[in-house]
Amino acid sequence: MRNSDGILSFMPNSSTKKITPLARIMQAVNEVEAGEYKPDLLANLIDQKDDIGQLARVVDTMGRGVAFRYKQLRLLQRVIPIGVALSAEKDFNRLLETLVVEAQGVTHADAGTLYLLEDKVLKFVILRNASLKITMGGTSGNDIAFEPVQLYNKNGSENHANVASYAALKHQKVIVSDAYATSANFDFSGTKSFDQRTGYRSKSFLTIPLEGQDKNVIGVLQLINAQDADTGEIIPFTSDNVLDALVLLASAALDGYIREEKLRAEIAKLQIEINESHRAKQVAEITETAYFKELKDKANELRARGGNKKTN
Amino acid sequence: MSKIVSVHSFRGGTGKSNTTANLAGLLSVDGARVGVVDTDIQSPGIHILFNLDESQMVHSLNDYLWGKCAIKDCAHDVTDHLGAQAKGKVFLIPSSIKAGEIARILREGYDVGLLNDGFRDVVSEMNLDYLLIDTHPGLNEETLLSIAISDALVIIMRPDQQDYQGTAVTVDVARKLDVPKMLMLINKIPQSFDLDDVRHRVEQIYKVKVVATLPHSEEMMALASSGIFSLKYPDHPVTKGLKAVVAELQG
Repeated sequence: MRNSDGILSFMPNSSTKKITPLARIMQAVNEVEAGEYKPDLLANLIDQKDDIGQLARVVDTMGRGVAFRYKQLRLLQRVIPIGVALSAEKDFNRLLETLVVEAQGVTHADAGTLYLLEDKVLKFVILRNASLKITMGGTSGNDIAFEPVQLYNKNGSENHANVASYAALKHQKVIVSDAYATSANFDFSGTKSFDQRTGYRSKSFLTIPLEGQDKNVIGVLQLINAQDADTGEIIPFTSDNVLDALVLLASAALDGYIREEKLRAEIAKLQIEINESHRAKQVAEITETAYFKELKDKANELRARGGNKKTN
Repeated sequence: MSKIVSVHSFRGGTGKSNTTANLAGLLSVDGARVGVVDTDIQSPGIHILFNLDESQMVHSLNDYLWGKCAIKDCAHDVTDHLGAQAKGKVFLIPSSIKAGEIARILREGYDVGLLNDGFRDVVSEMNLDYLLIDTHPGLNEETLLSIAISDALVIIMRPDQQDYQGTAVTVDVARKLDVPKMLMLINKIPQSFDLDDVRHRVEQIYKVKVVATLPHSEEMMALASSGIFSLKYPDHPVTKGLKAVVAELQG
């Protein structure tokens, strides 16, 4: 829009004082339509007690909501191709790695871990930490040096102390804002000793069970230290539809892959079926003849004589 | 001390002739004098692997069995047909490929004892280190005899349900004949099978040492018996398996 000098002005910082409140609100409406609303534009107006203030508040709320939805839509447009690519991924390690990397991307998580469930034990398969520049498992070629997590304690009771095993057993997403807070209900001693060794500070956690098509848990995804997109500050994870979508698609791809491998292994097992009694009968038919006995004696005789000698 | 080795399988199509030819090739490359007898009179085929055609066949095993010649007259030196440098030699005693002669010998039969004497004679007269007998599939008088006089028996099986039962019987019968050394080679294994798993299961069921598990090979198919595979493809996994069998026979 043009001001009284006929000059185009879009920059709120330099020209807010020159534009009338209503004009600013109109600008905000345009920005909302374009999906580019920035709250600072109406910041001065939303506290006003008059109609302008009310209008500003309405547009601001609308704008923030729309901006958020646009962001989500853009992320979903990114997540769906990832989901499709994951289902087509033939390399298991790359599949696992992509799951973690993309989940970190969607939530701005500094670190991520993936466990796969094998016989009541959660095994670490992927470990990534951006700040520490650590990648373990997957295609990195680095082995994971951490003990797996037992779902059950030695006495057979469910292991609720570990957040990953809790999530797997309860089929529940768990959000922990600060692992070091006394209110955190889980045993984070493993995390704390890792922090001590590396100088890292693990704070916020999001732990999600990955389910297969039969609603059985196939693994657990853990994201650590969500970062505020603007400030980089560590913030708690929030419920995120986009992440949920990614987890759903990734779980489906992972489940599909595991099932196919199992099926292939079943088919590939050599099934040798021998009717043992039939075998014995057929052998007897041959070996209990006089001819056979004669043959056997002759053969033994030849061998005893050292039969197969070369002459020179 | 020379060795008579029977290469046998319960059913046809397991790769017996191919294996026999390859074993002969590999042994001769190592310096051995190897004789190969095609006793599959009904459907002779190993001569093709050695590029010996009808015009080059002076005498066949049939001629010997009909008393027309001595066994060593049937031995054709095919060392130059191997397509590789051999320090040793390979002599092939082929079966006749003339339809009339095949029909006649099947109709009239032959003296199995004479065949057996032939084996002995050719070993001593040609000074052979090994005599490989490419047997007729299945258990019959001739194959039983070959097995009975052999110092080693190589049983070839494919992972195919039609092979299992018969091979089990063969193994038991061979055991009763006190063959000094018996080993198995599993051939033409589909890509999706785990080779160690195959080895393990077969050994468990047959209680015989499995010396080689050979994957089904496209290259082998493409070669289509026009030559000795292991000499053409020295580093192929199939060749490695065949070399393991050779090592076992040499040991």
